[in-house]
Amino acid sequence: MTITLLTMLVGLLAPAPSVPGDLQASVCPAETEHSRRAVTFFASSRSFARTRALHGLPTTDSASVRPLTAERDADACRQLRQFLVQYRPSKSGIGTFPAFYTASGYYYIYVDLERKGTTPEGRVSVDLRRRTLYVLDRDFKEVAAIAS
Amino acid sequence: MLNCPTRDIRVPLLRCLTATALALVTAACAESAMGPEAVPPESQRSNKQAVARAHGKATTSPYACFASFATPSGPHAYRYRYFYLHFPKEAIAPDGATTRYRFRANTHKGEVGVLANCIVPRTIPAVRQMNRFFKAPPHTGIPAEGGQPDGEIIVLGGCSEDVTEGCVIVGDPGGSEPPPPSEEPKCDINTTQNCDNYPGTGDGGDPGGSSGGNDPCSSCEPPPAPCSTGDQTIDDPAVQAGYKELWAASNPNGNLYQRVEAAGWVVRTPNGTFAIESWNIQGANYCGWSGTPPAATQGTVVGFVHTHPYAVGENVLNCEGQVVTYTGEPSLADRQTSAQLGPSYGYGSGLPGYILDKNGLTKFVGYTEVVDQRYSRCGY
Repeated sequence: MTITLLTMLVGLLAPAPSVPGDLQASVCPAETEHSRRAVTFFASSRSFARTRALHGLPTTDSASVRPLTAERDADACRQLRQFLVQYRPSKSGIGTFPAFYTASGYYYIYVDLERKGTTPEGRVSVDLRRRTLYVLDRDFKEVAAIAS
Repeated sequence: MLNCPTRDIRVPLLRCLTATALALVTAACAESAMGPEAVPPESQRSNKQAVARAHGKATTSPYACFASFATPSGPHAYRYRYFYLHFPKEAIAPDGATTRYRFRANTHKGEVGVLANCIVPRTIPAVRQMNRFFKAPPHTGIPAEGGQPDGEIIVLGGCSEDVTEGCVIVGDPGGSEPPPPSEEPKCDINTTQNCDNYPGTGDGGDPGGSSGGNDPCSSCEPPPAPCSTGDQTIDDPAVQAGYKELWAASNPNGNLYQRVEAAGWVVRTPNGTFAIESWNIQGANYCGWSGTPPAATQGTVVGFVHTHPYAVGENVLNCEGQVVTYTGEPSLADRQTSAQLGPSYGYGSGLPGYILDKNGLTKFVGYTEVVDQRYSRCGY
């Protein structure tokens, strides 16, 4: 009983862990309309059914794909960042912009590329560069690395 | 077993060398009479060679060599062989990464004696094993600073004029027990038989190209069959001719760094036929292309086409230089492009896109998967 009370007292007196808001927010990178559309399409469309089956991935309801947020998923975001740094570091120096999602017990990392350049008057620029979609399981082990 | 002279001979870069072929090495192994005897008969070949014949009772493997051997005493100048390669587990890259290990040894006359194009695990132990196999200097292709070997390793062997002693290229790798076969075959080199007029096992008068042809892990290039898909755009002869040009421009038989995507508009001409207007894009590399395509001049844009010079299931490089799997579907970037282009040309859901790869042709429209059509390869 004494120990319990002491523990509670220490808990009250000790400062709460301090995590700056901006740092916490940056743990989970911001998604883009394109990254969400891409991951949702991969996870739910018939077009990618064969690839999903190849990697043992389920077909997911598009509504169940959600981006990871610092508020809910800070730890997972750190793990996914660690995965990118440790196992899939960019070798080209090209600007990459990952976005993190989860659905049906898997994590999805869509690595977009820096879009640059201007469009001449009246002309539409296109970007056919290959992006990458990584799928990781609950233990943050890579399940698939797909050129997309 | 004859010993190879160990004199280093710096050989000029072969035409197959590219900016990404980083490992220029000298060879320790010269040869003098690379005839049929250079390949021991099956019964005499030791398992220690870590090599199995691709045909017959050989164990398949995702790693292989296509090799040409000069046969000065035979009816044909060269013999061609596929060899499966087997590596111990510790030599297999955890992510399945592979590298291309090319070997060339000239005769004392300066002609090609042996030419081999191999797919091997992209690991230091595997490259070491290949070096032993080809009797190349042991540090060939091994990064001095450690880390992963390069994506392509060029081993140039040669003969100096004073070579009096022959050596065999296919030899004892060092007396170890034969390594077990790898577990997950990823390509079937049998599919490369009869590619480019260089049969998998046969004879001929040419050693074959060293610039990417005879890839033991790429599929054959059969003569293109005319398209009869029912899609009037695809079936148009002019479109198929355009496909063929784009495909050739993609260098589909080159190594991963040499292959590039080629693209163009599909246009409807004023007389109602279709045509391809190539974008003649500059700056494309192994990871694709971005930029502003030229305006179409021959008619109304009804689609865009681009190549994926890969086979489904093939390991390709993403833009970060990592190995990932090509799945054959229109990429998410392709769909984005279709969706983005659509409104500019009067296609709300997306401008129809056509993709040519080594296995087939896909038509798609933005993210509307119901439009996806996959056709057998034709026209290119």
